[in-house]
Amino acid sequence: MAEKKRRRMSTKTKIQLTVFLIVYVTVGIINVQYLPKSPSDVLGNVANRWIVGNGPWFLQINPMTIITSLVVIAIIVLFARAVYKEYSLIPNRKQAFAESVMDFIYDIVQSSIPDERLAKSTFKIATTLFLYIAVANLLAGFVPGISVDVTKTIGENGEIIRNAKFMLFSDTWFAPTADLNTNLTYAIVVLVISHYFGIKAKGFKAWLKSFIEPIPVLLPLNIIGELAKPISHSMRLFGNITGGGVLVLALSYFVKYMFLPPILWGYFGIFSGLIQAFVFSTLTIAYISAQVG
Amino acid sequence: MDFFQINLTAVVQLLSFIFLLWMLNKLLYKPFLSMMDKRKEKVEGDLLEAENARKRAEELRKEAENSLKEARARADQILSAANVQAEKVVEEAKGRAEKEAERVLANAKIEIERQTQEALSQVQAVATELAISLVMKVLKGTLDEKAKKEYLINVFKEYEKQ
Repeated sequence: MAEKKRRRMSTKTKIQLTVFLIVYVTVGIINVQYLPKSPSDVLGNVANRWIVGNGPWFLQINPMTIITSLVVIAIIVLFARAVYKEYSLIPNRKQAFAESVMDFIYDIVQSSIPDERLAKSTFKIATTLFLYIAVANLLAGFVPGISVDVTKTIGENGEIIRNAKFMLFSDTWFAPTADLNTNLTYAIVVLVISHYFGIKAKGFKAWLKSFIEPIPVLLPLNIIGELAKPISHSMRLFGNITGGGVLVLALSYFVKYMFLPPILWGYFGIFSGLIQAFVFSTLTIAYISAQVG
Repeated sequence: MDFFQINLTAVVQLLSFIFLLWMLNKLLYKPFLSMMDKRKEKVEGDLLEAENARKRAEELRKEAENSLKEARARADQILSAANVQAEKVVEEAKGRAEKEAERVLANAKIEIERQTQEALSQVQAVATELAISLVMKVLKGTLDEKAKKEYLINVFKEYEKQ
C-alpha cells in the first residue's frame, strides 16, 4: 500500500509541475526571437568562448565555466548535505544512491591499491572527480539553463572583441568539462598526487629510480610518458564533451523537424557524459596505482 | 583558438576542486568510510553471534536427543519390568489357581471317599439286616435265638477281618 501511495503524484507536485511547464513554455516562446537565422550563425560561433579580460593569461577568465562549476558544486554539496543529515546504518533512498556510487568506486580503488590509507585518499579524489564531471556533463547534457552565444569581431587595432549574448533556458548549461581549463587542472592535480603518493609509498629513492627503469637510456622517454598522461587524460574528456556538443548542434540543423536531436542529446548528455566521468575517475585510479604499485 | 586558451579559470577551478573535495570529505566520505567499518564490524559480530547461536542450538538439540534417548531407555526398562511383573503376577495367579484347584479336588476326593464310606457302611448295615433277616428265615427253627445271634456275629467278624 505504501509503495502505491508514494508513486501517486501529490497535489503539490502537480501544481509545481504545471507552474514549471508554464514557465518553461513561456521562456521558450520568448527565446524564439533569438533563434539564429541560419545554421552557419550557430556553427560559426560554436568554437567561441566567452572570455572576459584582455591581456596576459592571469587577467583573463571564462565566466561561464565558473558559473556552471558553482552550480555543479552547489548541487553536489546540497545533495551531500541532505545525505549527511540523515546518515544511518540503515540507509534511506538518497543515502543508498550515494553509497552505491561510492561503493562502486571504492571497490575499484581497493582492488588496485593495496595500501589502505592511500586507497582511502585515492577514493576521495576519484569520487570527487567522478561526481563533479558526471553532474557537470548531465547538466550540460539535457538540463536547460544559462548559456551564452558569443560572436567574435576583430577590432580596429587587431584586438578581438567578444560580443556575448546571455540566454536563459534556450540551451543546456555550458559544460565546464568542455573547457580545457577545468580538465587540464584536474589532470595535473591527478599527476601531482600520483607522484606524491608514489614517493610516499615507495620512498624517494625508489621513486627516482623508477624513471631510469628498465635501463637509464629510457629516462627521456619515461619523462615524456609521464608528461603525456595529463594531456591525454584531459584531452579525452575535453574532446568528448566539446565534440558531443558540436555534433549535436550540427546534427540538430540537419534533421531539424525530426525527433532525432533529443535522442542524440540523450546519448551525448547522459550516456557519453557518464561514461567520460567514469573513464576520467578510473584513469585517475589507474595512474595513482601505477605510481604506488 | 578559444578552445585551448588557458587562463585564470584554471586557478579558480583548482580552488573549487579543493573546496568540493573538502566539503565532500566532511559530508560524504568520512561518514561513508566509518559506516563501512561499522557495518563490517556489525556484520562480523552478527555472523559470530549467529555461529554461537547455531552451536548453542546444536548443543540443545544434542541434549534433547540424549534426554529423549534416556527417556526411551527408561520407558523400555519400565516396560520390560512391567512385563516381568505381569508374568510373575500371571504365574502367581496360575499357581494359586492350580493350588486352589488341587485343594478343591482333594476336598472333593475326601468328600467322595467319605460319602462312599458312608454309603458303604449304610449298605453294609442294610445288607447285614437283610442278610440277618434272610438267614433268620432260612434258619428258622434250627437254632435258638441266642445261638443264631452269636453265630451270625462270628460270621460277620470273620467277614470284617477279611
